[in-house]
Amino acid sequence: MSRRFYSEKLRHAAHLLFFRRGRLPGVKGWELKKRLGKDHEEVMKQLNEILKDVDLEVKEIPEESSELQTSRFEESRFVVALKENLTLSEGKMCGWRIDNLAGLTIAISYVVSKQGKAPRGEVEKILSHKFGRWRSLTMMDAFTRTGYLAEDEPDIISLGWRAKAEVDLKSLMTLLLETKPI
Amino acid sequence: MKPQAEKDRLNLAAGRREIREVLQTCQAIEDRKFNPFLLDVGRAITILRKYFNNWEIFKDLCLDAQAINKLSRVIRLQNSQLRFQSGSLYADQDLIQRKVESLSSRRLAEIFVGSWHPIVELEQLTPSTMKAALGYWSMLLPYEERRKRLTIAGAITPSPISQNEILRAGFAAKEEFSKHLEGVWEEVKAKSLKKKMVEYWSFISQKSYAETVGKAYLVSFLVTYGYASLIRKGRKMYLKPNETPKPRAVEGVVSFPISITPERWREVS
Repeated sequence: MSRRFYSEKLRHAAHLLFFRRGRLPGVKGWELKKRLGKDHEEVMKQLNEILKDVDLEVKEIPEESSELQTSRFEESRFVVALKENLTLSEGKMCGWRIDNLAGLTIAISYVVSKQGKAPRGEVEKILSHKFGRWRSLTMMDAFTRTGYLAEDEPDIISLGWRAKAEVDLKSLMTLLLETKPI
Repeated sequence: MKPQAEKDRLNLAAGRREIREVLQTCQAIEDRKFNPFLLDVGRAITILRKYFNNWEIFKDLCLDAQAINKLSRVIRLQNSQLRFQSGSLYADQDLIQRKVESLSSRRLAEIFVGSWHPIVELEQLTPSTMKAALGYWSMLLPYEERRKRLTIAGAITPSPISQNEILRAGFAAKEEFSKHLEGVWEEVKAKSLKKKMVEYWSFISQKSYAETVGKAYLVSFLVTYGYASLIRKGRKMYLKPNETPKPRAVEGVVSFPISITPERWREVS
């Protein structure tokens, strides 16, 4: 059976995924299904193949349910993300200073080592050892504002939606433990 | 020899105290202050069992039920810790702490970039933002008009200021900025010992206008970082020091501009 190519639907899917319309980037699965019709999964596969050539991919971020870690297509959020990695100079072009990127490594890895939740004071303390007290406070504000960290419960920091979507946590922890000081 | 009723009363008081201790430990574990395995659940259950038959009033039974509930949460945390330790993301927090302290900022940034896949997104205009922008531009006076107003008001053109000038003006001190702020925090605490708060204008008011502005500048940092709260009572404003810094609310942050004019400074000083 020959494979269909959905040129019109592909364009539509790209528009939905690239242009930010709400508070968070990307689009929910149910919306993709509604806009693209029953062939939405095939359209997404074809879009992924096209994006692969420019080092991008469509990424599914599962909606976290309170107890079970199961997710459904309709509830997941779909975003376009970089497939491989950036260099440090490219990373700086994304608007973050080296200090901020280093701060993100520290804060995220510490929260992960505490099973995803850590007291705010502890995260601030570990950041302040490296960057000073006031800088650590501004960093924490910036990280929570941009969605890398979240403070759903008072004084308890957890990983934010952006950290879950953008950061490969396994790779971050492995790289951190493997790296030796020069 | 003590009578039986007296013995029972002491026994109950000791029981309540022990259960409260269990509750406090459970709470500290829930707040991620201690390792969940620090609590010997078996021993805690024995304590609850020991006193259970003695409870007669509703309040004591509630305390017992609360302890059971908290213990079940600790067991859940122990379970998730075991699952986490057996998973690939497990890393000892002390090891992580030592590691991040030994690595340079550059190496840490490289680690982040090596595991970072940023989302691609384009901001776009929506009908409501277009409407807001259109409203702004149609309300804005032509530049010529605005320039005239600025000239009449005798506004000074902004120009760069050197570090020495900042130091001379008293807006910055040679000592570390954070130490300076902590000094001001201590001062707020000392001056609010009696009434638990200090009147804002009397606190910032100094011998010269420049020093007053400098003090207000430092106080604004204290309030922003949660070291003190600004309270408005009628026409007066008060500074209330917080014993421990309260974290800033990220969403819904309120900016509260306070105009410090030479006239106002003369009035209060």
